[in-house]
Amino acid sequence: MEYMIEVDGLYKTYPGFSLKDICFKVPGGCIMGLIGENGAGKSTTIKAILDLIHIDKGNVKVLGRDMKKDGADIREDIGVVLDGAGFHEALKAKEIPKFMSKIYKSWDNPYYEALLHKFSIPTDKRLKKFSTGMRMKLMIAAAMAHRPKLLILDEATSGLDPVVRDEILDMFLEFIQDDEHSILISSHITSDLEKVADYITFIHKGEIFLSEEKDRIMEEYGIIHCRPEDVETIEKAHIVGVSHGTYSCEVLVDNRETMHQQHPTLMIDPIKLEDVLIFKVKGEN
Amino acid sequence: MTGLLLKEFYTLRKYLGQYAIIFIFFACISYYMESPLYLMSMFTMCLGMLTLTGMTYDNLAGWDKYALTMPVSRKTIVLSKYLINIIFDGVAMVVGVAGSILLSKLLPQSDEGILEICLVAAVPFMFVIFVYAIVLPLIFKFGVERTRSLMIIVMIVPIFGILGLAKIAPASVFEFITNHAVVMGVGAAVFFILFYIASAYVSIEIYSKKEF
Repeated sequence: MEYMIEVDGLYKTYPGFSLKDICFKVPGGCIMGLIGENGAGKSTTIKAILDLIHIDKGNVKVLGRDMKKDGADIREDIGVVLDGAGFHEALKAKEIPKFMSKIYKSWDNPYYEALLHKFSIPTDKRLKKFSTGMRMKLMIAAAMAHRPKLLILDEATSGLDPVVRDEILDMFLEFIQDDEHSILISSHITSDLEKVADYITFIHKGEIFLSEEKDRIMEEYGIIHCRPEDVETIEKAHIVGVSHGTYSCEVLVDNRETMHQQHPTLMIDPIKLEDVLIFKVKGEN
Repeated sequence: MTGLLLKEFYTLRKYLGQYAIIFIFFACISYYMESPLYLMSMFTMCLGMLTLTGMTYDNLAGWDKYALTMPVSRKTIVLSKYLINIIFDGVAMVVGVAGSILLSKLLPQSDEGILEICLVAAVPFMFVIFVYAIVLPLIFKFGVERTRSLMIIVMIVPIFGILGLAKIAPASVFEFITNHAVVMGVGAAVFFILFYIASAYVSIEIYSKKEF
């Protein structure tokens, strides 16, 4: 099995919003980050992958199998953290394995307990007394406790303090150490994805506008700081977006090195992942 | 399925204490009314609300969306609700019958025998089954909150309907029912069971089209 997730020509229309021709593949042994502004279609894409919504057109394969046909079987090997979906507040962390071990054949209770300990999650406290971060940690522990091959995480690191977030990101890196495990993670905290992701897919208004290896994006993209009149001298085919200031401009280009050679007098900086999104959204506005 | 049923139990077990108090409350009223059957009927109908409470919790936690990311089918999730309802209803009936039998022993003037209590117990049990057969597809379609008020109507209309019919029905109808009590009872039970099964099919159909 070459790809853990294959999304091909995915369409889904709602009143006022639609996903259009979403295509991407998540190879084994890697982390794919989904980046987009609020309402861009990240969660809808994840829901479509998990068969939580009925797509209008397209194909979704997870672990090499069709989710529509074999969803229940495939989900045995998937761990999921979704925004706004989880356990009841009346439960305690120690009660969760009592039923989850009957739902997942491969539920590993010692591992679950080790994760609770690692995340300092109280076992005897009702979930309604948990902080947002603590709840998120519990959801991550529950998602990993049946030792899945694939983790699908929707905004799983938001609400966590930087120390815990760092710890969890390290766990994600450990998780994908072989080709049998992968992670699809959506986050608006792009610095998290900069740290761990191998591939990045940018979504804007329900469409993918860039899906590429992260290192390639980081190496090849650049921001040119220049005067407004300099923008005309830059080859248009390589301009991703322009941000106009009062006296200066910033131009996002997709060929930093070549630009540097062609325009040695212009200052060209490396980018952060969020720059790509900001330039795309601002460029349209 | 076992996992989903256990989840219901762990979520709702904090209500056990409350239902114990409700049981004692109805037992006291029953004692003073000198009617052991009152305890059984009221307790069964009251405990019947537990399925709805569980679904309210599901709604608040986003449980259905989460459960559908697990290795369970939509059909299993729907059937687990129908099954847990029968379990709650059955437990309520058994506890209610036990309480009513005990009360009948404590009340020397009570003329209800054990067999009569057991037979009458089927009425509230079937009533809860009937109400959920109507309400569950509506909950799966419109959600708990929008269906809650409708549930009260579904519970009240048949009660007043039967009471109203009892007033206007000629004596020959009661005579017929009394003379054919066993056949009528079995017939009604078969009808309610089939109605419940049909309701489950409708719910599965609704749930399979639902988006989360």
